[in-house]
Amino acid sequence: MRCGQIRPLVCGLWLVLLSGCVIGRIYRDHPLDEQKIATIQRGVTTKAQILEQFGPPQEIDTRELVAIGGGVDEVLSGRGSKPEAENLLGARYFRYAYSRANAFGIILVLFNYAEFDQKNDSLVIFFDDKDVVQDVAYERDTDKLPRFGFWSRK
Amino acid sequence: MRRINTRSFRALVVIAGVAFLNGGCVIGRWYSGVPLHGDPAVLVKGESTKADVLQVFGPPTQITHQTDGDAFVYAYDRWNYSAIILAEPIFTGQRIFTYTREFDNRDRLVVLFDFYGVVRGVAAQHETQQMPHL
Repeated sequence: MRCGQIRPLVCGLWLVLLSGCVIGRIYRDHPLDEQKIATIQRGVTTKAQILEQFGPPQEIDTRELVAIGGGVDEVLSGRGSKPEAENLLGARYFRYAYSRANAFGIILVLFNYAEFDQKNDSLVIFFDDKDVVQDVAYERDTDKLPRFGFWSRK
Repeated sequence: MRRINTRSFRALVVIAGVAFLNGGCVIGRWYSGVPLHGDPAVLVKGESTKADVLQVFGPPTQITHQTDGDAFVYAYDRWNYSAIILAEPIFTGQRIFTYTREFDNRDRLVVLFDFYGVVRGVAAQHETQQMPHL
C-alpha cells in the first residue's frame, strides 16, 4: 500500500479516535402506580388511605388563614366583644412525583451536540378541611422522553 | 534526499493547523417539562373551578399562595445554546475566539383562584415557539 493511500486512513482513524458519544440517564424516585391512582375517589378517599397506599409525598403544603371580623383598632386594643373568626383554607395538597432525564451527546472533532431532557410524572391530591380528597390530577410525561436525543424526538 | 511534494506539504500544514488550533462548534439543547396542552381560553373568570383547571391542564408545576387565594403555575422551559470556539490547546490552552448565543425561553400559564377555588385570572405566554433552531 502506498503512502498516499495510507494517509486518508490515518486521518479517518484520528477523527474516529477523537470522537465519541455520550448517553446519560437520571431516575429520581420511583414510578407511580397507575392502578392505585385509579382507586382514588373524590369525596371518599381519606388522607390516611393516601398515605397508606402511596407512602410519604415529596411535597406537602397547607395554608390556613384566620379572617377576623371587626375593625383593626378593636382587635389591637382588646376592647369590646371578641370578633368573629373564620378559618379560610387555601390549597392543601400532597404531590407525588417521578422524574426522569435523558442526556445525549455527540462529540466529534469539529462539531459537538448535547441534549438534556427532563420530564416528570406528577400526581397532585387536594384535600378538604376534613382530610378527604377534594381533587386529584395525574399526568404521565416520562414516556414522552426521547431515548436517543433528536433522532427519536417526536 | 527525497523531496516533499506540494500536495503532501499542504496536507501536513492543514493537519498541523487543525492540531494547533483546535476549534469546534457546540450545540446544546435543554428541555424541562412538556409543552403546555389545553386552551386557556376555555377558562371563564368567575365560573371555572380548580377541578376544571386540573382536568384541562393536569397537575400544576407549582402551586403558590397569595393573600387573596392560590395560584397554579404551569411551565415548560427550553434552553438553546450554540457556540463556535477556536482554541490553542497545546501550549497556552487559550481560547482565541469564542462566539456563543443562547436562548432561555419558557411557556407559562398562571391561573389565579379566589378562596373558594374559582378562577379569577388567567395569563398565558408561549415563548418557546419563537426560538430559532440554530
